[in-house]
Amino acid sequence: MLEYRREEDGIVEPQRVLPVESEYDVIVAGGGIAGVGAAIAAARGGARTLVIEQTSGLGGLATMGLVNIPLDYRSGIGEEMIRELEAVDGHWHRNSDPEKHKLVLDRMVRGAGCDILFVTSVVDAVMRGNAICGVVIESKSGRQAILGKRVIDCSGDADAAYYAGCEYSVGRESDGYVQGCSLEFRLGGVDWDAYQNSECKANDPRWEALIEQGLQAGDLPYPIDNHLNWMTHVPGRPEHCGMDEVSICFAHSRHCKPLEVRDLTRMYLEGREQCDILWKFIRTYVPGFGKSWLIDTAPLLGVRDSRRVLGEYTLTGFDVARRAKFDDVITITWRGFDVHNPTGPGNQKWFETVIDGETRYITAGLDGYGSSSFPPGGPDALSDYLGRTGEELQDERQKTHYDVPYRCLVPQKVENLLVAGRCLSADFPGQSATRLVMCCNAMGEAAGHAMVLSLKHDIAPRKVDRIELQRRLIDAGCNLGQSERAIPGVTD
Amino acid sequence: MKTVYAVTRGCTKCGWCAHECQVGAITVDRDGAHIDPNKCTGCGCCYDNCASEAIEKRIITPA
Repeated sequence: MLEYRREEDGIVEPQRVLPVESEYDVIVAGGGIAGVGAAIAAARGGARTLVIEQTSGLGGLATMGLVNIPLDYRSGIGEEMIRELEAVDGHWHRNSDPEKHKLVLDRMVRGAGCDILFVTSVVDAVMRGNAICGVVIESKSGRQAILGKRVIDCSGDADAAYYAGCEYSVGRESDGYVQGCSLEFRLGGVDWDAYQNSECKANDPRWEALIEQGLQAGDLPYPIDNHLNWMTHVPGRPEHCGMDEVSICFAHSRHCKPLEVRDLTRMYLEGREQCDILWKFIRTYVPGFGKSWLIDTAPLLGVRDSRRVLGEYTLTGFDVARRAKFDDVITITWRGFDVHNPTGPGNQKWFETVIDGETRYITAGLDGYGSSSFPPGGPDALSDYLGRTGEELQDERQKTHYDVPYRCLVPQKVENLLVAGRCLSADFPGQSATRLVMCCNAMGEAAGHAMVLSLKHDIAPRKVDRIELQRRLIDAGCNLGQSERAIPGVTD
Repeated sequence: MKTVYAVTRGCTKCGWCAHECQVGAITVDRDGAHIDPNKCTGCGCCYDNCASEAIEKRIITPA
């Protein structure tokens, strides 16, 4: 038994020898949708790979978080994943079945020859100088070390990068608050056809009138956040039988501190209370939901952003708005801004910035008008990245995608480490646009391939030749936007 | 008889359908997405990719 000594400012932990549980070529910290891409790509490239996941299943928010909506480009491992889902009747309308998705990912990751550790947290980094060479884990087996030649941080919160000493930012530049967090829930017994054909879906798709009615009648205790009531119609249930299943992104916590366990606990408690109010409101007021029941609330809270690691390049809101292209592109994405208001109700598809002393509200396109929270001055205050407003505003999204460069995955300070997923190197609005399921998966896949090359040539990940990496990604079926433009040295 | 698609209910203006459409039949404005039935080839790409299921299949018979 270890003896802990009490001191003035805390408890002194006694020195102890951590057992080295195992050694790998590549350790992937986090088995969310980015970690899945990283693990499969690394393992298929011949690297002995381990993925460490804190929950009991793979897929992160896409499965455990009930965000079963794999949006954005289908490419590479992501494309394969959707095909596997379709083969088990687990995908339609860009919606997936979270349960089938978990099993598909188990099989894909194990099929690639990758080892998995579930219910395990990464709690420290093992360093040799400024290079990471392993992680400390805690699990039912206690506190152990796992050594790895390379580490890919797909933990979302950038836990491994944080413990390794990387610089990072959290939250909005103005006040440090992160986006609102959501606990999703699933309803069964929904008559989807009745809802689809209702007046409500046609004329009040955001249920604004219904929410007002609910308030007046006292069925809603307060005006619930009027976020677009995003519903995900789970596939694979018998169609047109009035027994559909939907996942609903409706509950929101604000002023969130997702890196503090007391606030995380607050958000789970608050989320479940909100879900209880919301699903009963939905059952009473929304056509087609009259016989619905609550299946579950998500086991994993929807944290949209926390640490963003400072990398060799920081993807900015302006890069998103102007649809930037980079020579070292490793994946492409299409989405505009999507900020769940950090401190108040609503969804903001724009960001605030100051140009030449003047405050501007920049949107990537007409989706800005789909916000449910507008800047002072309302929709007319929105402008594109060149300052055009109103009828002059250009929807850049309708013209082209934008690139995520490799440098966004490469931390500035620490060697042998890459990050992928929502902890990429980006500013607050840039991250809000690049956090979709398929984009995170593609970032992970690129990081996995990069580590294979880094091991093959025995060089640091930051030294990996971007042309060799891009050729490898294209060969693996990844979409780098090569059909739209020449990538220097690769397709020209 | 021709199969076309139309945006009928609950469009969120996300615009992905316009991006996916291979024949440029879809435009998005402040009111939402619109599909030009004359340009629509009935491929169903927008229908498959609309996460809000806001698009409906229609069979039209030329007059």
